[in-house]
Amino acid sequence: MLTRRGKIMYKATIGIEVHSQIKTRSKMFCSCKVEFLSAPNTNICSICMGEPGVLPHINEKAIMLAIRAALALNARINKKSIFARKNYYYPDLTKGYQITQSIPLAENGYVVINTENGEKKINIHRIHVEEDTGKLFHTNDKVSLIDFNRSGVPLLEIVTDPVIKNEKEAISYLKRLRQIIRYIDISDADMEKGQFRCEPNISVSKDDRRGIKTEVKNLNSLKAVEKAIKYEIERQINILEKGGKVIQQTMLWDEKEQVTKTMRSKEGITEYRYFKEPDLIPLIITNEMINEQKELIPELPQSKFNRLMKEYNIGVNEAEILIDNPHIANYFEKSIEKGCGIKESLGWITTDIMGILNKSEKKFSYLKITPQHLSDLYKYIENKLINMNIAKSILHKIAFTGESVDKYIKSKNLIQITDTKSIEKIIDEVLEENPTEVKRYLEGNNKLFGFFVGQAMKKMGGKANPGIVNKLLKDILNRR
Amino acid sequence: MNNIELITNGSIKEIREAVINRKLYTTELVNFFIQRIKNNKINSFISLYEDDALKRAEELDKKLKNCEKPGKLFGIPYAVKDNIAVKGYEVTCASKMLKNYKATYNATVINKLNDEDAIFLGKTNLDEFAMGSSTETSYFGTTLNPWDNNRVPGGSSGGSAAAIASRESVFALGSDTGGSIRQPAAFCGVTGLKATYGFVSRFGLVAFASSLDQVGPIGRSAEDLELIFSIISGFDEKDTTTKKIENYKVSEPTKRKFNIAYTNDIFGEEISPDIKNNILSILNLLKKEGHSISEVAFNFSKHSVPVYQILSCSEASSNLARYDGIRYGYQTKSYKSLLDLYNRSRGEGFGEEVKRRILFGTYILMAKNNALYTSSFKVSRLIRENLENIFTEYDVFITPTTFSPPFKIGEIIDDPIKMHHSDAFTSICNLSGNPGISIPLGLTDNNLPIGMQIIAKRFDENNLFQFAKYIQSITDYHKCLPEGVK
Repeated sequence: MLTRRGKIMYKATIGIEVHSQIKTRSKMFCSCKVEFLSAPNTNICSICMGEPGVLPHINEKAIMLAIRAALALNARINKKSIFARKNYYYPDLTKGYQITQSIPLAENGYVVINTENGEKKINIHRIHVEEDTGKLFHTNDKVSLIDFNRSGVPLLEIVTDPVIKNEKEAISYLKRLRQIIRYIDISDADMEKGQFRCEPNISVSKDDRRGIKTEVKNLNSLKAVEKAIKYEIERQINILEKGGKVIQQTMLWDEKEQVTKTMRSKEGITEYRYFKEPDLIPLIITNEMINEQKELIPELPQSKFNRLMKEYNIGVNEAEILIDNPHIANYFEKSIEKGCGIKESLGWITTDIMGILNKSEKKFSYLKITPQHLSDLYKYIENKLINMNIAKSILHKIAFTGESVDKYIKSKNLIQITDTKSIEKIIDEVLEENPTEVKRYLEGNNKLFGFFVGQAMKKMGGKANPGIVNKLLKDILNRR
Repeated sequence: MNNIELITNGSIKEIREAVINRKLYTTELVNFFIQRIKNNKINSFISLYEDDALKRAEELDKKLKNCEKPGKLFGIPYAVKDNIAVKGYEVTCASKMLKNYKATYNATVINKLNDEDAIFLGKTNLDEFAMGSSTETSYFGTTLNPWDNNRVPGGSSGGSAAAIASRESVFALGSDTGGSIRQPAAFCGVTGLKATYGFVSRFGLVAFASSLDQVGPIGRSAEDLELIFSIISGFDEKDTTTKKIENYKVSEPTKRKFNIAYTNDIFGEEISPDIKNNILSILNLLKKEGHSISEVAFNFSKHSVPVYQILSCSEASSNLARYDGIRYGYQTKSYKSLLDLYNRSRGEGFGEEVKRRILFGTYILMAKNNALYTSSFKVSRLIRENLENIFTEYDVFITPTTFSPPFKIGEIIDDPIKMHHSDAFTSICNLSGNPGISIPLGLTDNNLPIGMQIIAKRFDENNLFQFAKYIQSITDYHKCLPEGVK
């Protein structure tokens, strides 16, 4: 993105490093359980605690899932990758080094995102497996506590090339990447639980030469990522405008103050003394392993996105909502297959069902209405037996019971009233009960028309065909 | 043979048979060694578990009474170098850092020995974290050489070698990163094996240099060592660097003629004349017995020590990073910050030699020094290739184990370069991965032991043991014992 300051145009360049936990039952290099909610230091053993004399052994399941991710990200898988040690001291790091990879599991991938100017490929430089650290908790009384349950949990590191131009592209990339990870079921990628963490590298420059970059940490939501990138670009431009130099360093996003702050200067302490991990032999990936994982990759978000738009002629925004969760997209397609109208199904899913789920804070899997329910409901609408408002209220009522549409409509007697005589009778009653309003309407206050419609609908329990009510009311009032 | 003779000079096979046939009670056996260890003043053990060993002996007695099938090491007491984990017992690595640290699990080799009904006696002394060639860097004081108490037993497995030489155990485990089993075996006049890298599980061996470390036995003869090796070797899923290979089977005695290689390149000025003479005379003996002896070119003993130091210290600097005073081990009394906690705990917990090696290794691993590290790997590969070439034509390659007989305590402790140099012949095997065994080769004029190293092809321990056993069948060097031990 170009930002103009006076005569100068500044260009931002962003690369993103993502760490995604890999959903395995046990840790990367030992057999301890991976569990988010366990009491502190209960899922630990001599290996993930780095006791003297222990050795790591590789969790094959984690490798298989990482291969699946590499394939879904269109990356070239290295048949032989090498584990390495990244050496540094920190209390949450039990061995004094993190086991990562020097020759990564995969390289040269890409993710397609949608921008205002159409599709854009975000190149992925490398994808490798590594282990997570423990977690530190700082208490008020100068004591720090460490929970090692996370120590050794498998991580997938995904690093892009510096090809992202602004915070919007960054967010599109992260959303798409997270969707892919969820589609292929290698992680729930919940940012709040720390299962999906991102660290953008940001630099700005006036010309083609790359500026000095900073890295931003402590981003716990996409909102934070967006704000932090925006803030950091502004901060760097301001430095350059004043004739200063950006310092290569790690910044921390301060959620309270909404600013980035210096965490540590990178100079001198990025000496991680990498070397080949002598405790692990090279990781060999066979064609069989790759083929096995290929089979398990479903239709991925971008293909689904393009197909849905084409096949059902729906808009960009609706397609984005549908593909956000593959189950929702499937649900939509099933409902059409069962005979539901496209417009109706889209509306019900993207506004009503999503609204119900958001409000009740329940997951999609808790929903009891099926695509068949939508199609049944649609038949009532199509045959003008109920109106849209009634349909929507039915959805809300049966969302978590799954009662049949037919039964529900019958038991609640919701079939539309289309008989003009009954409707006329109700309208007469309404006008009789509200003489003042009638008088004001006749004096020219047209807004009161809606009031009469509302009153009449209320008396009929919302079941009347609103078109017929409107027409009859107009006729009756005109006669007065 | 009476029981005392049997206990002090018998082979594992003979002692086991006597125990099973009730000629010798396991408690008698265990008590004998415990008394020895207590009465001796050579400081070979850091810890001795008298009650537990006797309890175990009684358990085994019961097993015998119940007619359960006795294991291959039934009733055989053994000692363990104190850098190998035995569950529930301290594993100090002869360091203040781990002075009170108890292992929470068993090393794979320990499980394998216990499964064969061996009896664990205690932990032996070593150079701190196995870094040294004299056992002088131990936090618990040096071990004395049983042949001459003014001299070092070698190192780092000095406690294990001295314990065998003074007959405080039937066999002992050591670890060998650059010669730490073979050099003390030579200095103490006993037999010690470093197997092919990847043949014995390292799980439970406190790492010094992971790509070079191997656990191995020290004992009375090649025959005993082969039996132990057949038990402790093999693939271990807990150590991915172990090779998936068939279980080792003890070799048959052979009458075949060996193709033996040696090199004159190692007979430089530094070598002690006694050692040179003994090597040459055994080569003559072998020639007379009809074996083929050939001189080959092998000029790596100059390079092995610097390359070994670079690689081993690099890995050590990383392997020893876990001792940060936070989860276990020594923690300083008071500190002002996290950095201060690290600096003080490590500064106070580690000894001089360990610190020297950590600093050196840290320096080597810095990005700007990468060339030193990678070229060291290249030299390692050249050594391996050179040995591979030799073994296309020859069964075994013979060198002295050391340049000199055991030196005096304090003689070279302040000269690290000289001290490191004693690994010149042995570290070749660690760099290349080949198996090496040191067997006794008689005594110097001053009555000090000399060792000969036999090297074989990788994973060809069979050849190595056949040859070593053959030599011990035509000579009596391995039966020499220090004054007072007989």
